[in-house]
Amino acid sequence: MEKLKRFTGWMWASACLVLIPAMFVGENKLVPALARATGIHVSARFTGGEVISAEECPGYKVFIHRPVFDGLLGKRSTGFIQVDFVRTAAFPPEFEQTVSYDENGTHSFTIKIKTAGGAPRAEISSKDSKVLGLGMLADGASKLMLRVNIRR
Amino acid sequence: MELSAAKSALFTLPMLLVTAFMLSAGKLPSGFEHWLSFAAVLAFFNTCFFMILRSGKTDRWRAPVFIALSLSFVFTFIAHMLEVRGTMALKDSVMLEGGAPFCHVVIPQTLIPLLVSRTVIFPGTITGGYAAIGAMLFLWIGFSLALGRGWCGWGCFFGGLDDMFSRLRAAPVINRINPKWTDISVAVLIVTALASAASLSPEYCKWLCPYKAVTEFPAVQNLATLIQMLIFAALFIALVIALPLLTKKRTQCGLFCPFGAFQSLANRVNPFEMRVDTQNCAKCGACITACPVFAMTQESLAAGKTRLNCIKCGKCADVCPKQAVYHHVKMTENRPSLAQRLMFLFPAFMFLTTITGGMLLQAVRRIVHFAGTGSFC
Repeated sequence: MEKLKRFTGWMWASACLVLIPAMFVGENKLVPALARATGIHVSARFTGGEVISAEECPGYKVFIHRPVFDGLLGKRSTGFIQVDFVRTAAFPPEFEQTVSYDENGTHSFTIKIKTAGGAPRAEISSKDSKVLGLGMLADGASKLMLRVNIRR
Repeated sequence: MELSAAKSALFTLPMLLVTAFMLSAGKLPSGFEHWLSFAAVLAFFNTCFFMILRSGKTDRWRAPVFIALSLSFVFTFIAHMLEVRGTMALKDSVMLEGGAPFCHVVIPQTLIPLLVSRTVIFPGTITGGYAAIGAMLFLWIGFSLALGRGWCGWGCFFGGLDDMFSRLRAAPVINRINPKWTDISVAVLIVTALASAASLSPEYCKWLCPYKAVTEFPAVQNLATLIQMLIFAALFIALVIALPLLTKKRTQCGLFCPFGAFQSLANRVNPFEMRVDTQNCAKCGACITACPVFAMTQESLAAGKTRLNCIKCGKCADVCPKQAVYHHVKMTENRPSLAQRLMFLFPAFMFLTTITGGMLLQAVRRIVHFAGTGSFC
């Protein structure tokens, strides 16, 4: 029994000796495979969630993400909708986009963006009481990303 | 456990081959800068490994590589951020585009949402890109199974900073620190893991990580981000510079880091540990004084073991006048042996040099380039 225990200990340690180089050698192939197999993904609170509609406009494309209310175990009472404006040419100095985020179009808001004269600015207007206002406006390398806070 | 020069050279040979392969990625370097940096880093790594074997002092020759890891990490990280973003500040747009580099300290904060809903609460990418989440999780799982909390002594690219500052003074100014203070790191772990799960955002990274001061930090846009910046700077000065200088301990790693506290659990599931030969022990307490993370106490010494938070750096073994402290393979015979020591040193040093290699090569190459052209790029 003692010999078997000792043998197991040495085998365990030897396995670690192999594991370390194997990890580095196999990293490039194993990581994507493991990610697919486990289904891990970045939280929608960071990615903005799946894109549910897209529209092409002169100078830019609009991508509207799904409303994100994701909580740890269920849905939260407040969340956001992310809208991306991806440059295809130069942005117009001023433009508007109306976003309707339910099937029958009762919940909607309008984004007005001004790009002329320095950093882009955004205004949100809505008659819907569930639209809480602008949460974030970020100017990336190729797109403007905007989050509008909403209530369920 | 000193070895003859011939035996040391013999055991260094496999490490030389592995590090040469790893540093060159299987291809010969091209150009003077590449050759010079390759030769310098290869010589540095293998001299240290040779000296670990020759002198029998693990920590003394581990530390230069470990400190080089942190310094080259900070240097190359900042250089990368300045080249890619033009600033060390993390802008909202970078976070929304998933461009934030993932680091191991985030892992305990992400675990609850990861287990509950398979979502990672971090603004990075799972695969591809710089410091992707999947790659870091993969390396962390593998390393934890192999070396447990040895990560903090052999793989953490932040730990070398407070390790370096803890070595600058010959004697400590503050001598007595109750090991119970290490419970603070457990409290930080529990609070930040729960807060992160509740907010679905990595709260330790947002508010308490001292290393933000030397890597990346949120762009100061309002009072909240200004407070965050001040907290990062204050914690870095206190825990990574001042307290290590005054105590000669790795205070950030031992007293505050939630990842370190979490990683202690991995010491249960790996085959290596530090043991004390109680028969041979002179009970001088040198190992207790030397341990940088408060893993040695009178009680643990009497039991012939370290506490669970041991980082396996080997400093306790280095300072023991009776050579009563040794690296041990669990379930095997309880006495110091060269085989047990080598069995630990090979994977640990291999991991350290593999993590360090690319960054140190890049840092040396940039410095050589700077010396020749006046530009780091």
